[in-house]
Amino acid sequence: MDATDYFECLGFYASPNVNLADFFMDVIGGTVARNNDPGFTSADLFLFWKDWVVHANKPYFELEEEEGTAASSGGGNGGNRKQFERQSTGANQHNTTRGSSTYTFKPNQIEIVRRLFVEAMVIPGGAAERASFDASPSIKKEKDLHSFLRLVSQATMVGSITTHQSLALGLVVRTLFWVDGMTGHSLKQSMSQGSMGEMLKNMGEISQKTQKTNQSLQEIELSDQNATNVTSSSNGNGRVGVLNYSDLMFALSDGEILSEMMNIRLSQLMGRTASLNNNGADQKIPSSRPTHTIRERRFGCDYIFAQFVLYATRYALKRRRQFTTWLTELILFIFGAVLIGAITGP
Amino acid sequence: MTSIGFIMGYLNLIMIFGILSTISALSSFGSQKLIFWRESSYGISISAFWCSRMVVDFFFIFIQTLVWSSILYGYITPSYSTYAFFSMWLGQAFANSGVGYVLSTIIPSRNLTLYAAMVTALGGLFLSGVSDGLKYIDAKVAIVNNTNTIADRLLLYFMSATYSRWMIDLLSVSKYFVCSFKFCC
Repeated sequence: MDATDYFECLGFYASPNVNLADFFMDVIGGTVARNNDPGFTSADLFLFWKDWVVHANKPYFELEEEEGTAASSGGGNGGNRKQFERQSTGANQHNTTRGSSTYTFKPNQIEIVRRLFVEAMVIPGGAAERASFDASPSIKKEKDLHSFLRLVSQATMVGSITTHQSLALGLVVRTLFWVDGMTGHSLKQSMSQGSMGEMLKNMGEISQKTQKTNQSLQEIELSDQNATNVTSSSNGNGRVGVLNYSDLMFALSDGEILSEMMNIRLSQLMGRTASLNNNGADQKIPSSRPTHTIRERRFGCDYIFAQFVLYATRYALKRRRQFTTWLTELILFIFGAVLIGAITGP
Repeated sequence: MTSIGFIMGYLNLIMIFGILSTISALSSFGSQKLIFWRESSYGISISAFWCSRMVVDFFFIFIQTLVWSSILYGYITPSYSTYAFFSMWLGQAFANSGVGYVLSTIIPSRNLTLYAAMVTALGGLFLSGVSDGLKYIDAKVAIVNNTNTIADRLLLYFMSATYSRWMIDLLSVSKYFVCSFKFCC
């Protein structure tokens, strides 16, 4: 998304032949009216930008090409959209943009993931095992987890899910697999006990405290490259973790949880302390404000003349674009001179 | 002797030109305050910014004054040269554009045109010294005769900062005393 898209999101549409840089400067200067916002002032741009910075890092904020019309029309996709939002629990402002992400999953894609999940599980033929599967389907072996991820890769190659979604799914699956095995309770249970921010924070703390997690996760990365070695070292069964089907579906259906899961995993891979909770009072707000302060720069005398030329050129171009307005003022001068001159006389 | 009717006629000219010049100068600094604040916070030269606007604006002020004075010269038919007549109006346009710059920086943009017109008109009318007789001359006479009051002195100070008073002085003097300055004749 470039500057043109950003300003068009805000309701500023440049004419086809206009210089975009000048148009943006005019928007900043407040001389361009905002679409459907008669009370717009240029000072509002600060609020828009802050809001943009807050949401820019959210994966569901990235727009797909076809989602703009789908979100605005609410016609043919309305049923799927309602079904999709019904699965999410966070009743906040992100609901409207949740379906527009390149990471989040549409209902039909969640169904694909569900089938891959079932296919990856080794289901014995006994009636008791099938009954237990229906009760709480889950992947508890590392080998099965790898099988599931390979199936996801194949689905990505076929085109059933996008590469972004595949990457997000891999991050979320690995986070859920290890963390869930340590907490002992499911994602939904954690949600019901407290806010999502606290729950994710606890998950992050657990992952920090256990160095084994990092080591095992790194080994999983290695195992992706050489699955045979891992299989042999883990004695055929792999480490024990739990990836509940309900947790996976719960995470995939909610863009915010998906984002936080990805952050957990990315923080672990980057080897730094996971800062997961944006709502925590003791944590810094990660992206809602600029990370650097504006520093005043000192310029020499030679730069003053260059700045003078720069500003004069820029302002001359601006006046040139507003030549029609100036001509109107000139007509007023002519009209006033004729009128008052005739009244005053010699 | 200078008549009141003649001065009031000139005052109309001065006020109309002053209002037009002030309003036409409002967009120079008022429309891009945010850009100026942002760029000045980065340490750019404010004088370069200001001079660049002034230089570019002066061209447009020059054209406006040329059109105004050339049309008005045919109606008034002064006894002095066209160049002197043009120079006086150019001086007033320059002063009024400065008033417009100041007002555009301190008044919110939504009410800017109204307040600028009001300040220019009221200031030009009531501080010109001729709204109710020659107050300026009365104050000067009172000061010379040492019969002045504080109000006379304050009035004199305010009038000294008003474009209309100086323009009336210029036009009145030039009407009866042909400008003999080398630079303007």
